Amino acid sequence: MEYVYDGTFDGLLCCLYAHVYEEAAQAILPEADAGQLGLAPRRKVTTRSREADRVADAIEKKISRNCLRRCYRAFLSGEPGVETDILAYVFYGFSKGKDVDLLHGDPIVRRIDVLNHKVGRETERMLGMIRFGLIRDPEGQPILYAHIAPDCDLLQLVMPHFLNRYRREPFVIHDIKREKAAFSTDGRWVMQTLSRDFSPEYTPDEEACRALWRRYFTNAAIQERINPRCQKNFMPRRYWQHLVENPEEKRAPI
Amino acid sequence: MFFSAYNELMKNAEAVMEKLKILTDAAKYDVSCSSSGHERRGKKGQLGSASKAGICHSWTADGRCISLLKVLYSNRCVYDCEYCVNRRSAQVERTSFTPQELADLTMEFYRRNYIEGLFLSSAVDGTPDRTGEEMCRAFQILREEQGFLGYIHAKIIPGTSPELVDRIGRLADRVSVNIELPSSEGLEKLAPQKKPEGILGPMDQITRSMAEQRALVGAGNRYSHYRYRVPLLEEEGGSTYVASAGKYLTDRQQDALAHQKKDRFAPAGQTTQLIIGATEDSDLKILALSHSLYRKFYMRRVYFSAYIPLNDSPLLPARGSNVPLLREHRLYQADWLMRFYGFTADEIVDNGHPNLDLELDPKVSWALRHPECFPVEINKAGAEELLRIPGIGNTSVVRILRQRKLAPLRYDDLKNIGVVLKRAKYFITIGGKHYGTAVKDTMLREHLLMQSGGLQLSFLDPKTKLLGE
Repeated sequence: MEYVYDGTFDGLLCCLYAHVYEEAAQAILPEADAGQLGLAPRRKVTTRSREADRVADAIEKKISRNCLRRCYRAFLSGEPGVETDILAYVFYGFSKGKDVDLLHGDPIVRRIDVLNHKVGRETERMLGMIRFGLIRDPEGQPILYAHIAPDCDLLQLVMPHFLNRYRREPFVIHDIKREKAAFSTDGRWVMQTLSRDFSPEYTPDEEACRALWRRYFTNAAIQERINPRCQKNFMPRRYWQHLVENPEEKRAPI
Repeated sequence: MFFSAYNELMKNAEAVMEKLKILTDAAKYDVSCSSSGHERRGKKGQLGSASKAGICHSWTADGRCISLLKVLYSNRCVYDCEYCVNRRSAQVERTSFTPQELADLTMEFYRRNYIEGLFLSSAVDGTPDRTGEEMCRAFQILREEQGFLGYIHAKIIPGTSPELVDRIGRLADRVSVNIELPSSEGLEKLAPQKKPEGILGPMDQITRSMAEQRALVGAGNRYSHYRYRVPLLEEEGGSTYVASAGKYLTDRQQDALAHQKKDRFAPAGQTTQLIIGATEDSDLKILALSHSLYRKFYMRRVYFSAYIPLNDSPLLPARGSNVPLLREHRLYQADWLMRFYGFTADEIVDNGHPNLDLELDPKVSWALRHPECFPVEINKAGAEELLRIPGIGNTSVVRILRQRKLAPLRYDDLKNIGVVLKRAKYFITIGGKHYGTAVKDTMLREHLLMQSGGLQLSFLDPKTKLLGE
C-alpha cells in the first residue's frame, strides 16, 4: 500500500498510524506528488490530530524526544522521499529504543542525520543572510520586511532568533517559495499565507542605506586575495537574489 | 526614538559614504571578523543579541566572511609602521568618523540584519588615549543611548592607559591588541614607535580582569591544552573564598558561573593577530609565540594575516610579490590542531622541521613522522588517540565513541560516519584488519599526495599562485 497525505507533519504521523493499525506502507507520498505513476495501490489518509498525537507520544516515550525532533526537522527538508525515510527511521527506532541515534554508521540513521544537517545548515545560513528593508504599515508605522526562498521550510526555525533579537521592531519574513509569511510584533508572532506577488514599497531613504552597505561590501574585499569559488562555496548563487549586495559586483577603480 | 537617528544619518549620507569607503579600505587587512564567544539574550525595549557560535552575514569576493562592520575610527596616524597601509608617510586620503555617525551606521546596518555588530579599530590620531576615548564614546552611544545589545569587538591601540582599557572592556564583547610582528627585533625594525610593553601591558591587564571575575576561558575545546581551569572555591564564613586544592570547575559549571556575572569584562575574551611573511620568522617561531600567548594570556584565538606587499620599503618583500596564502592556511591548520585536537606546538614543528610542509597538512605530516603511533584500532582507541588520525575530526570521534557504546564499527560504518577514508585508511585497523598500505611504507607520502591531487586546496582558487617563488 502507498499512502498519500496532505503534506503536513501531522498528516505524515497519521500515515505511520495507518501503517501500524491498517496496512503496512511501502511508501508515503504528499498529495502534490500523488499524480506520479506507481505500482502499489494508493490510499489517501485523512489527517486526524488524535491519531497524530498518539504517534508523536509513542515516538517520545518509546524512543526519545530528540528522535521526534529529528523527524520533524528531517520532514522540513522537503527532500523527495523523506516520508519513507522517516517511516523507516521511526520503526527502526521502535526496535532499537532510545539508543537508535547512536548508530551513526547505519544507513537509515545516517539518512536522518544528513537531512537534519541540511536543515540546520540552511537555517544557520538564513540567520545571517536574511536582509530586512524598511516599509510602513497603513498607519505609517515602520516595519522591517524581508523575503526569502530557502530550500527547506525553515521559517518557524529562524523565528525564535529574530524574535529574541528584535524586541522593539515589528518585522515580517516572507517565504516567497511557499507563499507564507511570519508576522511579528511585541514579542509574539503568527504565520499566514502571503502571495509571492506581494512586494511592498520601501521607505524613500531605504535606498541610501542599501547603497552604504553595497559600498562597504565591495570595499571590504582584498583585491590580492580575490577568490570567487570560495565565495560561492559559502554563499551559493541561488540565495543572491534575496540579498541587498551583489556578490559579483566589482569595486569601482581607485 | 525608533528611527530618529536614522534620519540624521541619511541627511548626510554622502559624507558618510565617503568616510565609509576610506575607512573600510583602511581596516580590511585586519583578518579577524568573528562574532563568536558569547551568548546574550535580547532584552525588552532594546535591540540585539549575541550568538555563542557567531553568525556570518555575507562573504566578500575574496571568500572571507563579513560578520561585523569592520572599519577604522580614523586613518589619521602619527605612527609610521613600515608594513601598514595607513602609516603616516603613505599617500592616502585621511578621514575620521564621529562617534555618533559610527553608532548610527551600526544601528542601521544591524537592524537590517546586514551585520552582527561592530568591529572598531583605529590609526593613532594624536595619542593612543585620545583615539581610544573617541572609540569608547561610540561604544557608549551604542550601548547606553541606543540600547544596542549586538556584538562589539574593540581593538586596543598599543599604549592605551589601563583606565581606558577597563572602560572599553566593559562595553565590548571582545577586545584585542595586535602583536603584528612575531619578534621584538621585527617590531623595532618595522614599527619603531610601538613598544613591546605597550602591547603586552594591556594584554596582561585584560587577562587579569577576566580572571578576577572568574570568567577566563581560554582557547579551544575540552581536548585543548589551552583551556583555563577555574579552581573550585568553597565558601568559608561570610564572603571569603578559598581554593579547594587541585579541584576545578567543569566547562559547564564554568560557563554557568561566568554567565551570572554582571558588568562582565570582555565576555567573549581576547584575541590577537600576527602578520605572516613580512619578516623572516619561521613557522616554529610563530607557533611557539602562539603557544605562549594561549598559555600566558589565555587568548581565545591568535589570527594569522598573510602579508600583502602594498608598500615600497627596502625592509619588506617587494610590492606585487606573492602573498603567502598557503602558508597562512597551513598555520591555521596547525592552530586548529592545537586548539581542538590536543596537539602542542612542539609536536607540529621542531628544530628539525622549523617550517610546516606546504604540500601536506600538518596532521598528515605529523602522522608520517610518527609511524610508531599507528595503526590505531578504531574499536579500542580513546578519544585523544582517535583525534590524531588524519581524516578523522572532532565530529567523527564523537560519532565513533557513541556508536561503540552499542556496537563495534565496521569499515563501511566509517564512511557513513563521515571519516575521510582516503586519508584515514592507512592509519587505522578495524577489528584488527588493516585496509591500506602500511604506514612504514616509504611510498605513503606519494600516495597521499597523489590522492589529494597534489595539494589539498579546494578552497583556494586554482588561479592563485600558491608557493611564494
